[in-house]
Amino acid sequence: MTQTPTQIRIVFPKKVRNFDSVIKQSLNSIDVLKKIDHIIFDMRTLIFLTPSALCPLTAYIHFIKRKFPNKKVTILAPRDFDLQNYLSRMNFFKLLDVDFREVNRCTKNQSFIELTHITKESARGIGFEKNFSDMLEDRLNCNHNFLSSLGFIVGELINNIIDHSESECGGFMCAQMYPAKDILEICFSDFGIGIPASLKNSLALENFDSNEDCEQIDYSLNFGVTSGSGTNKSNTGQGLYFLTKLIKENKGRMKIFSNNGMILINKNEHKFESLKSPWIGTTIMFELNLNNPISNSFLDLPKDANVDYYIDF
Amino acid sequence: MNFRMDSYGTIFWLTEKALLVKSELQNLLSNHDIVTVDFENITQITPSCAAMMFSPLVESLGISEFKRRIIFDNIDKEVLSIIRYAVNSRIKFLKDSGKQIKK
Repeated sequence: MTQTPTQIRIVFPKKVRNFDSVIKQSLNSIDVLKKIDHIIFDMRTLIFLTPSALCPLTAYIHFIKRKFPNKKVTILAPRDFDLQNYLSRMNFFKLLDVDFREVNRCTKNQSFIELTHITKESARGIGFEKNFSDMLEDRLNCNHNFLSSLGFIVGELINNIIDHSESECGGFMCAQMYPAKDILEICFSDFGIGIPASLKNSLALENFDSNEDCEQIDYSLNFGVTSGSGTNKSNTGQGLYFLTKLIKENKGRMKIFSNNGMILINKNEHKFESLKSPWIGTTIMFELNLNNPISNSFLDLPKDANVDYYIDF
Repeated sequence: MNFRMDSYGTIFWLTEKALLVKSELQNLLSNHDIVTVDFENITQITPSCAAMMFSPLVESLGISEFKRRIIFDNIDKEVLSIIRYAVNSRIKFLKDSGKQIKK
């Protein structure tokens, strides 16, 4: 008996503002994906897409192309010229090997950081951090404390993808500044094992008695919680802790989606939600208020941290 | 023996690069009694990076041998503070997990 090839068309609405919409549009079950031969991402009517939606969408399509190389993946680009150009300048087409002729690209006065594919190989490059730091400084009009703290956190989130996510194809990040609103939006997304699974694989949850993914994600925000799994056993478990501190001090907003759970931190409030359509890996998105500069550099925090000093230099 | 950190870049955020530095330091220590790590031009380091570079050396050499054989030179106050903090956090983590660290 021959099987008829199955095709599925994912039609995007006009505006995709957040990750929740992407998740609803996606097929996040590997078992379902296995049964489909041709996936069409129909973005033709799309006119607006935020970085918080673009980043996981890119990670999702990249994951499918990498995990199932024999499947046909078609991306029907938006008809809207401005969005086409934006997606192109964000490297969306280039990273997903979609043939697209860009009209122009001017990096001067650019208020975003293009989608960046984070892999072990790219992280080993001598200039990677410097280039990234220069991009943050050139393109995001923030003060020194803000930039150094942000660089510190971006570095630790990249480390989390490389060291803990166990993602076969790395992860993605991008950022966008909205000068009219004085907001900076940053998103990281990977298709690894997810925070709850990573913690479960280690002893990190030994003294934690909840099986709820969202509560485990919340627990991972505490100081020093690390899975110590993956390739690097020297992590100190501070990336999410410092990010949470930054969000609270800045009165910003953060959402983490991982496995079956979602946590939203808005100012000081933590809200949990169980996801109906689970996300295989982890997506972290946050918004910072550029008009609310933080008072101290986060690089000063170690001085205040309550650590026993066994060795001094 | 002098080792210039800036041969690997001036900003250290990522543990993948820290792994390379750690390996080079281990090599140098296997051939030289004293290694001076020159931090000139190094402006930023993350705790994960600092822990990756130096904690395994503290674990293998012990605290006093590490202090005798590895000398930090031209180090920025903030960078030193992060290294001190990250290495001690790691030692605490190991001690809490029941591992003994040589004094």
